[in-house]
Amino acid sequence: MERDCCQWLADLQSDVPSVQETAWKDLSGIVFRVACAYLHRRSDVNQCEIEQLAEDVAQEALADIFNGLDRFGRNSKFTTWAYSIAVNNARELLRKGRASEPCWPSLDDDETATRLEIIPDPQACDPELQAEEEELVRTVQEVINTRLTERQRAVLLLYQAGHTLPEIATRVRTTRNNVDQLLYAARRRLKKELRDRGYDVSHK
Amino acid sequence: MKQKRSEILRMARGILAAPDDALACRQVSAQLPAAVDARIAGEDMAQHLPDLAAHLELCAPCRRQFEELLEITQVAEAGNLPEPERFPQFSLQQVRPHAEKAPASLEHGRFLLRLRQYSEALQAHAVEPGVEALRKVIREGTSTLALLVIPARPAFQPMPVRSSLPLQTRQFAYHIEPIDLQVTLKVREFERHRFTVRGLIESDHAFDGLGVSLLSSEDDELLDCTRVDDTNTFSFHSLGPGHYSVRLDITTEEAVYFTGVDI
Repeated sequence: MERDCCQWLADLQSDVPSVQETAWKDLSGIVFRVACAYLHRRSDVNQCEIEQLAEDVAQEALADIFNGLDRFGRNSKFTTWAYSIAVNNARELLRKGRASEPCWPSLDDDETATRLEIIPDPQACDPELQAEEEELVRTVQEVINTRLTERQRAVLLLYQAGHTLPEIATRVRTTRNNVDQLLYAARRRLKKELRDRGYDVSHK
Repeated sequence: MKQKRSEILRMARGILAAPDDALACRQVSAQLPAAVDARIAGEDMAQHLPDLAAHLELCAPCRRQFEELLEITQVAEAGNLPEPERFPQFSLQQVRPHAEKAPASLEHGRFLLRLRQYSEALQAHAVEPGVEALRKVIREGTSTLALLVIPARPAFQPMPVRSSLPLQTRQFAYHIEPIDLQVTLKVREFERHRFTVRGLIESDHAFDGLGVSLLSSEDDELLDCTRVDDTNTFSFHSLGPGHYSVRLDITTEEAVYFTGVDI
């Protein structure tokens, strides 16, 4: 049976046990298949492990959905919200299960290890534009390396390099919430410093 | 840490173009399902969700998450989800015990209970010098119950002169008897104008693992953060002179601020 958002919420929280149980079974099937679909797309997952991993993902995702029903904002389809929880759980499970974490330099031992270095990537373009871009990149590098706090800089660069908030929280020994706030503070300070140096939105 | 020039350029342009009250990644994460629905419905995201669109432009990790969710949702909407060989049987009875696992923060439950009772009493009628309970709206628009504590008069303790420029320690003591919390912050100048703050929490509760943040008193900017270790201590290093406060994050919505850390 196709359910809309209200119907999903009503059935999952129904006082009628059979209705509630059926809704949870339907949802678990969807979440399990979404987890399979996501894991199939990941190149770092062994194909023969997918169904076992998907079962673990679905279990956690269903618990998160159970806990989060009251917080569901109804600004999206219920199913899209459920997919997002399944995908987030799958991403997190794979992160935790990685055989070896990337080797990060210790923030405490070597402050210079978190400084930004730029890797040039050759691209043919207007030389005049390239000079402007070069100046902007150099300014960004200088601001990041000298005007951000060490922790703000580490969080910004690790996040920019593709690490997740929970990964960074573990790395810099803080909470995910604080990583989010550090990231926000770093961007805000970077923006202010760039504006103070005459850069604005027109610098394309 | 090495970053590609093109990625730095894209980030810089995104940051410059973003509104001053740009969304944080956590807010974006909560909005991604709505954004994906909007995209699938063919809506112009820049028009309907401009803040989110601006954030996705500047933030590569959030953009990747958006694209992954969009792809999966499109597959699901088209009825093309895989049909696995076997379906594990989940039931509500299986889900519930997982869902009701006690979160880690409840390990600090007794302290939290006392803190909540004390904060309610403060808000209701009692006024205690040096301690204030208020709803502090933090950056993300969520409200945090904050207990603000000012220190007893700072004690200046000049170090024995070992050189021509004597270095100092300074101590800030905070005591909230009703919740059995005593915190001492020792600030030590380890080289000229560079300071270390070391905090000791004295209580009959263990606080190990809780987050501790260092904020600028001027604009509440989060400058540094760490966790309480298993000896109930924490530290921040290499601070310049300034006005700071230290926040002990009891839960994501409840915190104790130790204010007036003027160095």
